[in-house]
Amino acid sequence: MTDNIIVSIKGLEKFFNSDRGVVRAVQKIDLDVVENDFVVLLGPSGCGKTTTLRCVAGLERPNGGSVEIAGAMVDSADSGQFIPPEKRDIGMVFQSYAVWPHLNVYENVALPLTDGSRRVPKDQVSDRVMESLRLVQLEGLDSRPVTDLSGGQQQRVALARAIVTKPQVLLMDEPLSNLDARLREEMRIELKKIATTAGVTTLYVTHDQGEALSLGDQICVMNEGKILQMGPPEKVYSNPPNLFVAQFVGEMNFIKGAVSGVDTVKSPIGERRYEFDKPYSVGENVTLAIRPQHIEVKSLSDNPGENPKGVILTKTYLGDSVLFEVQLSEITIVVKASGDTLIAEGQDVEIILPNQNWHIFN
Amino acid sequence: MWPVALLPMVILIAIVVVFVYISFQTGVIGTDDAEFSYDNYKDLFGDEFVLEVLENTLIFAIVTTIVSLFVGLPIAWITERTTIRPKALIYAMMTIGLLVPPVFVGMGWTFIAHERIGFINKMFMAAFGLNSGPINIENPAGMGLIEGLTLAPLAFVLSVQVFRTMNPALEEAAQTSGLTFKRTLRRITLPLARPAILAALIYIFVIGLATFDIPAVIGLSSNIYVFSTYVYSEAFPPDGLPEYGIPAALGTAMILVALLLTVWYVQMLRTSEKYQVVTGKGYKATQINIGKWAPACWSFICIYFFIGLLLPILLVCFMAFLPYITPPSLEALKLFSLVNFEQMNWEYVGRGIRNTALLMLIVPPVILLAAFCVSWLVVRTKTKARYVLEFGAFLPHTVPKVVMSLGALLLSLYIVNDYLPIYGTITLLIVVYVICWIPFGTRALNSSMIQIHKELEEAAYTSGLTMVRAIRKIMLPLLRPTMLSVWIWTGLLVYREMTIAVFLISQDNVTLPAIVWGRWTMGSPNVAAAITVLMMLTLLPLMVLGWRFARKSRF
Repeated sequence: MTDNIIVSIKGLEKFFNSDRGVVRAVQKIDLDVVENDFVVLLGPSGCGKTTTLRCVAGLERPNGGSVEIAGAMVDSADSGQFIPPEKRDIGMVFQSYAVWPHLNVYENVALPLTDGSRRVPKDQVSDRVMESLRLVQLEGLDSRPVTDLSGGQQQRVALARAIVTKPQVLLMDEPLSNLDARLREEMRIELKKIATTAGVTTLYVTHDQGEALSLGDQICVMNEGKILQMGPPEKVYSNPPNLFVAQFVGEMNFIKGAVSGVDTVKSPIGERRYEFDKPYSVGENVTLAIRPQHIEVKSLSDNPGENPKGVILTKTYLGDSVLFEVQLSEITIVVKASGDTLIAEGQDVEIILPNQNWHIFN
Repeated sequence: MWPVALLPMVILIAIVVVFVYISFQTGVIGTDDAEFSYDNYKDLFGDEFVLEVLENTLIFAIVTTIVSLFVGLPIAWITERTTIRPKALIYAMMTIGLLVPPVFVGMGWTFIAHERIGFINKMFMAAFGLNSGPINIENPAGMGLIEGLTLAPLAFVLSVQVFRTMNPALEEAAQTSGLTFKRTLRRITLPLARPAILAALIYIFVIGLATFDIPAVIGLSSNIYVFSTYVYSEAFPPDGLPEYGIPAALGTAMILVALLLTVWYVQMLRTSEKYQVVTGKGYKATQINIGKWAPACWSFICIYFFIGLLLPILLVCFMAFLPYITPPSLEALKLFSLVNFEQMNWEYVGRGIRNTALLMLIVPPVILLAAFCVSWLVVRTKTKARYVLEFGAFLPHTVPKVVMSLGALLLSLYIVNDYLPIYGTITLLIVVYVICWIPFGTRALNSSMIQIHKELEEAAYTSGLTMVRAIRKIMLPLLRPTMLSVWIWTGLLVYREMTIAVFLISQDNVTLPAIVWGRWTMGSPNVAAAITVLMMLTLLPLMVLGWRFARKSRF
């Protein structure tokens, strides 16, 4: 059974003219969003993720490529076909929430149903609005002016408004970035729950990799207008295909070395065997990468053997864990250890390197 | 800083107090004859003539407001919300409109459409053998039309600000909620713009109630009076003693009206500010493709520019080179000469030039100094006393220029003359000009100062700088662009100011606009036109300067 594809982006291209020349915001990307999936577009500022989202919304018109929503062509640069945002079956949450300040909570959520292109008969409006408000836990506040609400509450109004028409796809543009850290964590879980309960396919834009990992069924890592990797969070985290994804998602140590044999690499941590995912030629320069939590550190013993020796430069205490900056003979690496470790700053240590969990990039 | 900041306010309050006091006096002021009474007010509201004046004023102000918004608002919307090009041209046309003295436009329109001498009427009279022409601008509505055209650029500037500060995400949210363009306009855009547009409307209406230049140039000769020209004619009668009591009563009533309207205006402004949610990413609003509407829009803009500015100015230039008023024609061209320029009293005009130049040099820096002190104290200090300053800074809004001028005249003539003989001097002009335009300076400086984060100054203090040094090295350099544009704008406003100059005129302090007025009312319209041409020629480079700075800091 083929999964139903709700959003299909093919060859999407968008560029802007600025004083400094042409800015290629989106460079011929392809993306398919499966029904009921929560897809996260992740990347640094300027990578093209918001532009892509706005093209799906119809707020931005691509220079090349096409967008289909639920099998219907909504935007095609070749044929010139364009369905404006108000006629697309979408709901959108903006970074600034964009709740209408002259309407109260109820009116904000009701407007798509009373005046939008997907409006419903008058007798159904009240039930739908209250259902939406209940989902975001705001049902007591329906008569409040939205300007009286806190940031988190305004954001929930925006969410309720976006799902009240039961759209095919929900678009969210960094909805959590204006909230403080504690609220952000709480809302993260809330958001996913609401999207799942409402059963709506979601396309979510963020620059926060922690958000992406916890929210996404699929993560799409973007940089400089291109998609670098698309896959479930575990795959993006443990199998990054290139240097950028490796260092953007999660913490990573990078160690430069050179290939010295069929499966060996010589580097400041010694000449060791690694699992090569593809053939490299001898002498080729590569970068080894390993996550801090896959390295162990222990007090320098009498018999370190092959384990590299080092000294603790800094110790950053995080409560449940500790990050050590360890100075080895030529390089520094970061190691994650348990929060109740007794190792202290300035202490001589030895590093226990694993045999798996290494990545190699060239 | 406090004395500098408070002084203008104190002087203004003194002026208003004197003015109100005079309104309760009958008899010849300054003599023993004068006594306290309510008669002025009784006479005022029982006098049929005064009621007619009020009616004229109301019609005039209403027509002015409607016309200015009818022209300015759509042009602002077209410029900000569509893809019309080039936008810089539209801004230039509107900025020129802001700087041209209304007296020029008034004179030009008299040459065009005056009942007897206007050339359009003369053409009709000649063609159809009539006694008088069909177009008559010497009535409140006609004058309102012309005043409205001169205020259209102001309506434009105010409306542009409204459209610029609207959060585009609010309309995008409407689009993604399924609302069509028309519905978005109706349910989102217009309700959000309403308070700000209403504020602009009130602002222009208050100006219309109190303005002097155009009703004076066009209406006086035909005995059509509005509030401002009535006050003038009572205070400066061609013969007999000046009557101050009744116009003072009318003026006091007008201050109250203006005060109420300004309170309403501030309320509207506060409401509109609530709706200005600042976006995180600062997207520009999507602009509608102008497409096939471009020719229609440009026609509208150009017709306004032609009727409102170009045509009257052309007529003035034309008349400057003719010895008497005659409709433009090929024969008239033969009469062209420089006789007006040769016959000018150059000594007198020279004095006018000197005085105008002096005012332009002195007034702007004084305004900047006072405005800076007021703004700094209001924005940066936490004392309760700063509310007094805020109120004082906005008081000149509510006092009509004719009231301010007449009050200053009375104050200087009857109260302080013994120990501060500034009556009839240019110093008096400087004082009144400064008081009149301080709100302009404080408004600009306030918003600039607020944008300069307090922490920039605080970093200076924690680095060991004294307050004076912090202001000199941090604040002033950061405020320089704003201060420069305030300097240039107020310089241009001084250059074109006629009302105050006329009310306080004397042989010594006469300015160029006052000379133009003098020639106009004494039956030498062509000479007046000639001086106008001189003024325009010197105005041109100043306007170019002003426009370039206005572009950089839009306030």
